[in-house]
Amino acid sequence: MLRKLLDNIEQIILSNDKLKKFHLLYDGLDTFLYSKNTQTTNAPYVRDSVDLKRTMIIVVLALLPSFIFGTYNVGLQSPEMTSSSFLDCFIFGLYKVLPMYLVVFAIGGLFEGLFVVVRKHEINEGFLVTGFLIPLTMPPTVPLWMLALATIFGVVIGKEIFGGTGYNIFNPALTARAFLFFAYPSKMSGNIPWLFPADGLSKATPLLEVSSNIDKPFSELSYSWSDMFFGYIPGSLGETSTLAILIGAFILIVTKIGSWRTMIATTIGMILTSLLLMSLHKYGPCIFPDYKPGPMLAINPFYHFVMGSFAFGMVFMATDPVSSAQTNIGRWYYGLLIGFMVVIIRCINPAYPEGMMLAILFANAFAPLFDYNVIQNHIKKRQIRNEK
Amino acid sequence: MKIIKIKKGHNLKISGKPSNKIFNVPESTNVTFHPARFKSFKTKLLIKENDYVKVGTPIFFNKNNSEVMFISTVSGNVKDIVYGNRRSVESIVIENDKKYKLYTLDINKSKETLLKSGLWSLIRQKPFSKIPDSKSSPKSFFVSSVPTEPFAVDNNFLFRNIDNHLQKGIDVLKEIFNCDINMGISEKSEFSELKDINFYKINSLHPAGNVGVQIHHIDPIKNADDTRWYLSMQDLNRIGYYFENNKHFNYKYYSIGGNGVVEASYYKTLIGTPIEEITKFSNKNIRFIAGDILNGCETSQQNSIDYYDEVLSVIEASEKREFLGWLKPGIDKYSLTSTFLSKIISNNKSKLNTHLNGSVRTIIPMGNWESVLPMNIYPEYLVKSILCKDIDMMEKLGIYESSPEDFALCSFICQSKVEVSKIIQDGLDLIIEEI
Repeated sequence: MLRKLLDNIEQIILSNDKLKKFHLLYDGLDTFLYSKNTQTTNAPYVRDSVDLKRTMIIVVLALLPSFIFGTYNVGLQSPEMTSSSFLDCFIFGLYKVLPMYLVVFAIGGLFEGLFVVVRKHEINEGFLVTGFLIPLTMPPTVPLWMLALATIFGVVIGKEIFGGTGYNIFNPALTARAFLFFAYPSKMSGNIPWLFPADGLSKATPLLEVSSNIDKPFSELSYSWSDMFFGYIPGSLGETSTLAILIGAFILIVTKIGSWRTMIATTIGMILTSLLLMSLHKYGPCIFPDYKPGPMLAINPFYHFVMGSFAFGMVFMATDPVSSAQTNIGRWYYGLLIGFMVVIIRCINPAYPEGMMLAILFANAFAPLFDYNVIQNHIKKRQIRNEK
Repeated sequence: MKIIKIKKGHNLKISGKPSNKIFNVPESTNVTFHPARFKSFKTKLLIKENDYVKVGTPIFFNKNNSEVMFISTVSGNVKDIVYGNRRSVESIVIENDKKYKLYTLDINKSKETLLKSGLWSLIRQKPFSKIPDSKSSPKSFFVSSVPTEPFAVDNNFLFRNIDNHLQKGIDVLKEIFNCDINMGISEKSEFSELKDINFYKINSLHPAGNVGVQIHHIDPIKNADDTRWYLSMQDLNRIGYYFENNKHFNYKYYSIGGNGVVEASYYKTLIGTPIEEITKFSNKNIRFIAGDILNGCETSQQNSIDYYDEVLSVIEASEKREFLGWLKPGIDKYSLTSTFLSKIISNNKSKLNTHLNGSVRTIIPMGNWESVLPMNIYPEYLVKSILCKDIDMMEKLGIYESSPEDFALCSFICQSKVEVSKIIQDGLDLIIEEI
């Protein structure tokens, strides 16, 4: 039935010259519903069942736990909610979160479609993941018009001007977030944006709490480690529950879609840097009597791991195969750099308490350099072998 | 003895594996040869229609390598010469009079005899997988006795059941070229008794049996002029037979498999026999692939099997389109990646067909290619250097060690459906053009 309808539509599109340029859009819908019928024309004559659609849907699957918990947490954190049952909070959250997704996919899809028609490339599944990621990186109270702007920026500037999925330098979802972060800083960080109603009460994220209370020791934080691990804290939609993120990480690693090397290296980089800063916090004043270390320096690696968007960024953003380093050795350096930068930005920079987004974008820019060195090294080894 | 243990790769589980039986195919009344199916080949014919040829009569050669003759395997009249685009010679049909009269030639152990008898054309060189120039000589020979591609000939089984002239072949090559002959053998091998040969052991995980992979691990190629020559076991046997009996062995044992063939098995076939006369095939929509399904070349059943191929794969084509297939758990999907549930449950029920199984996308480096390429090569960077025609970079990244067949599994596993092995072939062709 549906198949026949689609075939009829295709014939109408192909027989009309004006409609022909929209054939790629039709093709996107057609291959979304039915597997493509293309036969192999070159060896090998049989092919693996995996395709980019499948790969991307696995990433979305890995994001689902974070999505579900994030939506629930919107209700849980809201002072409007009196009940704390999972279902009530989740439904309350859905009211806030679904419009965000509608906006992102409608606006993002529109611009993707525009580029498909103008640039004549097929619809790429990359946006499925980018679109799913963008709301998860945002504070739940972000105005929808801002979300729309950010999506356009992420799709057009972050990806399409380079040629589309596979050619981009920076992670498009993070580009979208960075745009809002710098264009509308008051809506993106500070005390305000984490709770509904947005203009009433305010609550600080754990990172902000540490960074803004110079005299209060880090150990007197109002959230416990387990609160932060399970995610009962204010924060951006997808970032709060480290547990949900780790479930996603497990899916990505088992299916080999996310690089475990990047994840491990990022964690190692973070641990080493935070240990260094902890020792500076402890012994710095003994060596330099005038030195007064900031409170953020005292955060130990366990807390860095569960605070802010470290885990979310590490699992879902840093491992983006296109914008990360592409050689296995390069991925180690790339991850170490992210881990190093995130702690440095968090602890040393006085302006922002969170640094994961900037750390990953920074490392994205350096990823080709790591790969370049790996390849040059490989070429050098080859030449030495050939001269023997 | 050197031991190569290949860990990255995959042996396709595909229905229609040839059984260990050898059938004799009746002598065909017409045999065909297809010069146009050779790569970068400019055919010069030595015969006209209605000429009488004998077994061993040179019938055509390549203008770029004009001393290497290709011979007839039967005696009889040339019945038909079919031309294709731009006067390429699609096929030469010779009517078999079944008398097998011999073309006379002075036989001595020399390059000249190899060239004139057509046996030189059985030898190919790496890099480029082409017939070596008649004036060149090799650094060494490589023979793989354990081909690992799908439906590959089991040489250990085959040579237990047929006349063995391998030692003579080795002696002849050694005397003419005076170089090392290396042979890859399996753990328990029929061939370990052969003399004057350097053995190395290999396991059976495809592409371990590919001669290119073996050369990469034993004695890597350094540049375009650093050639290793190779030939198949059957062709080595043919050379031995010729010098022992002063006549050609004009039969070949083909391994024919796939779900489109009624009796998948080995077939002793007169070289040049059209595919439709060899055995029976199913009536469904089937595709004929000369060579294995990973690296063969599509052909029709009126053609004979290609010159170097020992395998014929016949597989059913599927036209079915699946509704929302990317969303399903995928218990019946064949995949080397872990993105389907079939990975955990079992791959036994999953079937392969000729679907591309997806749309072509840009290269997205997931690490899939590396996971099936057992070579010290960065495939993504090599492919990208070929796509931007940067020959200098291609050389630095190891294009001379690369052959399309070694990268076939990369094309197989690619989620963006990038034609990796075709791109490698394009890169090699580009270099041949430039040189």
